[in-house]
Amino acid sequence: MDPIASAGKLASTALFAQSMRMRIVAENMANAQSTGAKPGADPYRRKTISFAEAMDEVTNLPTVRISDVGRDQAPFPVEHMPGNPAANAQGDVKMPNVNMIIEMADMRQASRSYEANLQVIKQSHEMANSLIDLLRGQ
Amino acid sequence: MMVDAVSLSALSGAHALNKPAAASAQDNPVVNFATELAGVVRAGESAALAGVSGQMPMQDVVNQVMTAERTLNVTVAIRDKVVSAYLELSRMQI
Repeated sequence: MDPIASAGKLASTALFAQSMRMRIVAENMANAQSTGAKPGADPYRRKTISFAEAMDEVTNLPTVRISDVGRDQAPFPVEHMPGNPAANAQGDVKMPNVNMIIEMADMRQASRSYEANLQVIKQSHEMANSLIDLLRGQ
Repeated sequence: MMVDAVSLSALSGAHALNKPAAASAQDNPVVNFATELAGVVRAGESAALAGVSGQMPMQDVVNQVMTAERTLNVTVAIRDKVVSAYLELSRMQI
């Protein structure tokens, strides 16, 4: 496969991976206050995402894929909220183990990686176009 | 490589590809190239459609459409070269 086209394809799989990461961050942020339904029930558990190299069988390119969407096993913080439906006998409610600062940092990193891969696509497109322009005698 | 009228008509538009190619044009690289091109452009179009209906991730759609665009650009550049070669021939003093 043409190396410039390969670079574009690789970067597009990376864009997809970073989009999925963004989606997981969005799920965590949206459920940052989601408590359980019954007294003492577990609240939303933070999701994590990890990537792995994946060989494309057709083009033989080392693309990136989502290897696993797991759950963060960190303990739940407990808040005293006797009125909450998820409160136990002592009035304590388990809150999701989502840390907003970590999610913001993760989101920023996903955004930066996305930008970097977008730049790869832009640059490879430019290189291919300037090569084709040679044929046009410009 | 001989460029004859059959292969030129194949280059000029996809409608010529739907007709069964003449026996002499079977192994013609230009005809093969044009068939390949039609396939790539068609893949780009179906990717765009799949993207609009949300069946394909936007990143894949953009990648396929850009591949189609690049292939089309190459073809147009080569066609211009062929046409200008014929123009040069027609300008030859007899």
